[in-house]
Amino acid sequence: MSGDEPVRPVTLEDLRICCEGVVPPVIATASVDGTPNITYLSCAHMLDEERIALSNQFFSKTARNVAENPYAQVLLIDPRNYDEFRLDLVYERTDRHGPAFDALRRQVDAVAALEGMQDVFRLRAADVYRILAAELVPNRPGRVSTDDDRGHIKTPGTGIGGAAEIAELSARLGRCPDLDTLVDTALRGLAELLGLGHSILLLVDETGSRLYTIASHGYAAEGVGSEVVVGDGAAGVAADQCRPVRVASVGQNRRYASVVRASYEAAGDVGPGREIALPGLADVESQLAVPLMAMGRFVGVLMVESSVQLAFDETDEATLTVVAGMIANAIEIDRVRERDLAESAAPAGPVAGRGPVVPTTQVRFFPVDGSVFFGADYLIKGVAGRILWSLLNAHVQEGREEFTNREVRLDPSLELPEYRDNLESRLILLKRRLDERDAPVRIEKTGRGRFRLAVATPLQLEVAGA
Amino acid sequence: MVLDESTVARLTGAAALIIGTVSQDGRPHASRAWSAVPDADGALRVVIDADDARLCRGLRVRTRVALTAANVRTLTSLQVKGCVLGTEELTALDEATRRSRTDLFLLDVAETDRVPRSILDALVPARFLVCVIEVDEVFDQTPGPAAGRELEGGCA
Repeated sequence: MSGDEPVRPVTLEDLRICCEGVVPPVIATASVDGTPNITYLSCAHMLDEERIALSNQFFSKTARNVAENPYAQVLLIDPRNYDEFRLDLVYERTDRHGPAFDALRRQVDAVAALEGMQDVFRLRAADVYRILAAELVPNRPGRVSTDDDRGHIKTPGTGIGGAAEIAELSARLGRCPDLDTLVDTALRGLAELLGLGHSILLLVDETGSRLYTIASHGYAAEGVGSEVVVGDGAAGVAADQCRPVRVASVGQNRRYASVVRASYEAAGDVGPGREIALPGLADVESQLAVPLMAMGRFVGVLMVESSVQLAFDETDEATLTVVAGMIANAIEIDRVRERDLAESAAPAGPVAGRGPVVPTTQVRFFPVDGSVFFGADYLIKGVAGRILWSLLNAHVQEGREEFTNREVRLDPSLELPEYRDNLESRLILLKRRLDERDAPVRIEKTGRGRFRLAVATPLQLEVAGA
Repeated sequence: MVLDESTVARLTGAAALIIGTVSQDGRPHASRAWSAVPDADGALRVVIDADDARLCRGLRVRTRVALTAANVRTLTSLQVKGCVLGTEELTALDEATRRSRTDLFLLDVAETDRVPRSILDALVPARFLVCVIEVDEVFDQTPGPAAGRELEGGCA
C-alpha cells in the first residue's frame, strides 16, 4: 500500500480488538497551562461507536488534567497486525457502576488475580469519553501483507463452533449415564467438536471457597484434585463473580500485574511472594473461564486455554457459556438422581477378602488436612482424602469391598454438610485420582449409588502423628 | 538541566517512546518517537515522525512537551517534561542511533509479544526529524500507585 492511497475508515471492530488487553493503550492529556502528560492504561473498553471507557485506578495526573481540560487522546494497537489507531476524545462522565464499570472491572480483576492483588488493585471508576475523531495512523513504508504472518493470534472470524456442533455435544451429554462419563464426554466433545483442545473442569467445594479439578483434557498431567482458591486466576475470578472471564494475552497481563505488584510492595500495601501459579499450558496466552450455573446455583467453572493470543472472542464466550450451562445442569441432575437412589438403597454387605498379595502398600493419613499418601507418593487431601481413609479402614478391618454412596454420606467421621455435600463429585475425583496415579486401590462403579473398592495389594494403614 | 545516569539509561535503552504535545486550543497529541539521546549541552535530541503534521505543528519553540519511555519487557516507565528548543534534520549520528534503538525496541516487542518482526516494521515511519528538548522535570511513570511521582534525582 503506498502512502497515496486513502486511509481506510476506522470501524468499531477495529477498536474493540485493540481493547482486548494485548497491547496497553496510551493516553495523552494536557493541563490547563499546556503541559502534556503521557501514561499507559491498564484497560480500555469500547462502549459503542462513539464512546470509550478507560480505567481509572491510579493515574492521578491524568485525572487532574481532565478535570481542568477535558480533551484527551488515546493510542491503540491492533494486536493482529499492529495497526495503530489514534482517538481524539473529550471527557464525558465517570461511572462507578453500570455496564462500562462492570466491563472494565472484569478486566482489572483478571489482571489483579494473576498476582494476588485483589484487595488493593481495584477499579476505582470508569471514565467515559466521547470520540471526536478516530484515525488509522498513516501507513508506513514497512507495511507488508500480514495474511501469512498471523501465527501468533487466532485467525479473525473463526469461532469455536456453531449450532450444529453444540447440538451434537448436547446429544452426547444427554446419553451419559453418570457423572464420571459426563465429565469425560464433555471435555472430549469440546476438543472434537469445538476445537478446544485444552480444557479444565473445576467444581466448587463444600465451603464455596475453593475449586477442585475433576477433569481436564489436553495436558501432560490431568491434574485431578488440584485446587484453585476462589478469586485467584481466571477460573477463580469467574467463580467469584459468577461471570465469564476472558484473558486475551496472559503474558502481557502478567507483566503488567507484576510491575504493579512491585509498586504496591514498595508502598507496603501488599506482602511479597504470593504469585498464583497458572494451571495448564506452560505457554498459555489466552484463557476463557465460564461459571457453571444450574438452577441459580454456582456449580463450578469450565476453563479453556490456548497458547495463541486472542484465541477467544465474545462469540466464543457466549458459546462456551451455553456449553457450561448444559454441563452444569447435567451435573446437578446427576447429583439429585444419585442422592434419591442412595437414600433408598440397602447397605452393601461385607465381601470376602482376597488372598494376600505382596508387596504391602503403606498408606499414611494426616488428620490435620485429610491428606493420604501411598508410600511416599501424595495422593489426595481434604474431603476426598477422608473418604478414602474411611473406605480403606472398612476394607482392612471388615474385609469390605462393596459400598453405597448412602452409607458414605452418613459416615459421621467425614463431617459432610447435610445439604449439597458434593459426595458424588468427590467420589469421581477420588476415582480419577487413583486411576491417574496408577494406585493399588481403585474405585469401580457397580450401579447407581454403589461402587466397589478394588484393592490389589495388602494395605498397612497408619495415622501420621498418632 | 542535565539528566542523571539512571534517567539517561532508561531513555536511551530499548524503550517504547511516546512524545506528547499540546495544540494551541489545548488538545493533546501523542506520537511514537524513535530515539532519545542527550547532546553535549544536556538537551535531549528526540527523533520523531516527520510526517506527523499535527505533532510537528505542536513543537513550537518554548512550548511544553512530554516524553514517556517504557521498557517493553518490564513495563517500568519514566516520563520527562520540558520545553522545545527547536527542530532539526537528523545528523548521521542521530540516524545511526535511531536505527539501533529502533532495532532494540522492535526486537523486544517481537520477543515479548511473540509477534513477527515483519509486522512490527510497519510501525516505523518513512521520514524523521529531531526535536531538541530542554528537560526540567522527571517522573516515575511505572504503572502502579506511584505513577506520576516526581523523581528528584532525575536531573543531575
